Amino acid sequence: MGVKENTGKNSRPAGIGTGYLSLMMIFVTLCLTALAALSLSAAENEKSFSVKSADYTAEYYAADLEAKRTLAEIDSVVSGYSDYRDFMLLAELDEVNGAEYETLPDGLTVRWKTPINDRQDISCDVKFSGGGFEILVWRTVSSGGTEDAPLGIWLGE
Amino acid sequence: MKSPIKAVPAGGRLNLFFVEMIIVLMFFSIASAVILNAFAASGRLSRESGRLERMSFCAQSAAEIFSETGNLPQTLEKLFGSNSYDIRGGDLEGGGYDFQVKLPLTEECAYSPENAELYMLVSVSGEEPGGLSEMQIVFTDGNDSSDGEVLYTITAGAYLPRKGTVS
Amino acid sequence: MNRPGSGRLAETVSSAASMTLFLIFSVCCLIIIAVAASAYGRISGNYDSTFSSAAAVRYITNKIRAGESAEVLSESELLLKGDGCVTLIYFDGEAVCERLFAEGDEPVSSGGEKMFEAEMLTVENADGLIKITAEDSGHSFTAYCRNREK
Repeated sequence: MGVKENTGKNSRPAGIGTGYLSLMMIFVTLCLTALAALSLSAAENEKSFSVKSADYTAEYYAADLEAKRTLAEIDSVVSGYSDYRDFMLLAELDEVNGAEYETLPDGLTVRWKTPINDRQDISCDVKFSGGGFEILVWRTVSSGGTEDAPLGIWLGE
Repeated sequence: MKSPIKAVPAGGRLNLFFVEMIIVLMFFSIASAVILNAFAASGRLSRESGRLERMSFCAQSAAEIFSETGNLPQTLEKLFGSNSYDIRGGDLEGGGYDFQVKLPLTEECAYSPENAELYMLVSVSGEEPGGLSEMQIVFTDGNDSSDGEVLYTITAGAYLPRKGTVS
Repeated sequence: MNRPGSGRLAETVSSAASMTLFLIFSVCCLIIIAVAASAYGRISGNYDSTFSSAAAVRYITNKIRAGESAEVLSESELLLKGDGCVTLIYFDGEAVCERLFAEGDEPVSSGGEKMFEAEMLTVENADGLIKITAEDSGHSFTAYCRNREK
């Protein structure tokens, strides 16, 4: 390989020897393949991240709508009664899926959870009083409940 | 005039450099075609991800505003500005709390009737003012003459009580 | 019949031509590698900036949804209350940072943990909604989120 000199009758022709081109092509092809693989991997990661985020957004708003349907159902039940301790009202609330209620001196609190996915729920607390309602809590919580799991951290006790 | 560059020189021996060059170029062109496809696929995936991300944020914003106002014209005005509201009036079908809107958007999800790259179809249905309203948002890449491929869909809702919420 | 020296001339020209071809091939290879590297850099940079800014906006909206209430302190500071502590999310000029405080403490926008690289973060109240905008490397994402505290 290499640049040859034409020194005699039987010598090879001058110029670039064989092999250099092949070596260079192998190097370039490897470089390009590596860059293409890295690009594809980065793009697939980006796509996967976007799809997961977009799916979560859709799941969240579907659950939010479901929670609002429950609220509408509860509101239509409660609005039919002026006395929040009415036995019939409480019996009707028992039939609303997943709803728990608590009667208060000045009203009624109803709480329920709507699942977003298998890890998260929307937790809702709504207080009915004076013919209207007030949303006390409307937040995402872990499906395991709102209690903090012990982290095994020494608390200095 | 004959060219002095010959694959087979006067001595009759094959010039290996030129033969190698031909083989290398052939192999390289095949490899390049495959690699170029991979780059093109990466670019396409990257562009699609960015578009999906923007559609998702646009839909989220629309859902949040609608959830607070329960009113589609207000939602779109806040999201795309008052210009979209004026032009959108022509696209309205039906009235009250049961109507559909088709908005031309760029890939950046900005309202643009001139450079529409995707369309946002918004359908709102509700029983009466102040009740439960549902809003469905569908993004498609279709133009006016065809429905196109559905790129992203979300369904959101608003519940505004008749007597007013105090939240 | 060849003239004397014409074979030598042919060989010299041939070698010069082959070297020129080799040079052209090398330069083309270098250009192709540079173009491929730039394409990879663009895709990778796009991923990084999209991830930073979009993830920052998503992170903040998820924190608002999971918190009891949110309060916009300034255009780059957001205070989230919930579960017996307050979380201050702020922008320090380079990144979106987060710092936890006990309830009752005065929140200070320094010394927090850097969460996402960004060139800009703005939070603003918009008629009962919080508008969050994050920007990084020319990619800007905006989202609205309901605020329970109005």
